[in-house]
Amino acid sequence: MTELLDLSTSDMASQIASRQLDPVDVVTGLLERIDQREPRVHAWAYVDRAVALADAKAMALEAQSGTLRGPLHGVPIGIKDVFHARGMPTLANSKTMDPSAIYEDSGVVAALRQAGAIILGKCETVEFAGMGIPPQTRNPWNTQHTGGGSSSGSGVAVGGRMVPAAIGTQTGGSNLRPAAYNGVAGLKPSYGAFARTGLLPVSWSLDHPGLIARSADDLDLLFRILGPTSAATPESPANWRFGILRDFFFETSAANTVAVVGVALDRLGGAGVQLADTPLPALFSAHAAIHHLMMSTEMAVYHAPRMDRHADTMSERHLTLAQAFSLVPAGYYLQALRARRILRDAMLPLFAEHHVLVMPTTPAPAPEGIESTGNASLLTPWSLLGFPAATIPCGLADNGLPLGLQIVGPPGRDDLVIQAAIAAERVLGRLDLPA
Amino acid sequence: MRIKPAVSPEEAYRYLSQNAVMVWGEAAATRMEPQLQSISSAMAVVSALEIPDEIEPLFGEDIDRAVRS
Repeated sequence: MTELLDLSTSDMASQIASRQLDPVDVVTGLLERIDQREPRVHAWAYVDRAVALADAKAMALEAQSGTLRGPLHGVPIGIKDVFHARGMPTLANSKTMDPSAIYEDSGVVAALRQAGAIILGKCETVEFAGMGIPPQTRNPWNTQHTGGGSSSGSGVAVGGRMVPAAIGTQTGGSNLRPAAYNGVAGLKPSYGAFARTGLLPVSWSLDHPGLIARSADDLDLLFRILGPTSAATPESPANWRFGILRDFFFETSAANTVAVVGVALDRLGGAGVQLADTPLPALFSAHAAIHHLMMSTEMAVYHAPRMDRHADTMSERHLTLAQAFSLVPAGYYLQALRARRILRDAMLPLFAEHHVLVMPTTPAPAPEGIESTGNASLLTPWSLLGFPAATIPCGLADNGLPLGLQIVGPPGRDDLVIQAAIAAERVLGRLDLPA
Repeated sequence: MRIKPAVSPEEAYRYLSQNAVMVWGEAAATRMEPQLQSISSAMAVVSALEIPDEIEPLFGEDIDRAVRS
């Protein structure tokens, strides 16, 4: 049982393909784990036991006869409850959503099913994946702490060893933050890399479907299924050049985070990775304001009909946000879009000397309590710019909670980010997840 | 609301809070004060930026196409 729960997505897929592992045993084992841990961590909004077991039985027979649907044949995956999936409700942690509504598969879910994945269920989310009501989800490393958000359940389901991989989303920091807080790997790909059809939006210009998984190798496997192109040949690790963003990213992080990430970078340097500090352009200081105006305006526009029809069932927190955000003047929204463009132009030269940039994923580990899902400030810049970003665990904070190393690449070079994450993970190792 | 000359956070906040009362009413406007503060700060930052005349706003996927081309 323990062995099954510790398998990465890639190892699980290869063991099923080679018939060392039966998909029925996989699904049964993960459902037992969910039964055991779910009452304490609340990662799942919906688990489709009967369909998952039926799919597993069908795929077990297919595997026995040598037929594999794809590279994820028989591998269970969790889906953030803002993506539609056939036969499952989409509730987005909001009472305004109709639990009886019937949906077709979202683009991401359809691609996963085509690759042979078993959609195990829907993972909890902050209300509409925004800044509304957080779910009751708790961190498996310490249930007194948040599991992060807004992809709360996706992070906790993987970190809690209930599923080897899950799909999240990121508009600010919602995918990589829960990955880092739960001690696992995550990828926010380049903007537009993964399909957004069938995804409830927060902000069309900033939303990124993302990956949370046990290992950096899993990010590679899943990106090859969901991404626009296959990942490129890996660079030789000894030739990696990592630029360290000390401005802002280290300056605004807790001393303990700086120390833990610093030790990880020293280990990478010791393994041959070339490391050099890289200054940020002055315009970078405007990134949070630009992001705020874009995200606010688009969120208010999307939720305008819902505010009109369902104000009585919408949480006051979400309603207040949407009302306030509707007041951003149009000229300021357009000015923010123009500013994003010049900020991107100012940031691209950072990659002239470095393959990727590295920094902490979050300024501190998961905060105590579940009212806040944590600080997204180190993640928002890359959501704004659409640059691909990954996180891998890089150590434990003084309080025993995981911290992440964030790796960022130029737009469209998801392959580079994933291969850098794989190279770094081989040096730093993976964390042993909570029992 | 003007963009240039640049607005201060206080000016932006006054504009937003007056509009909040008009659009959503007194009670809602009071409730949304923290959000209006954060929006007005963001407006002041963006208002102060010098953006070249030829820069057009890009939406969604357009921005990736522009950078990659």
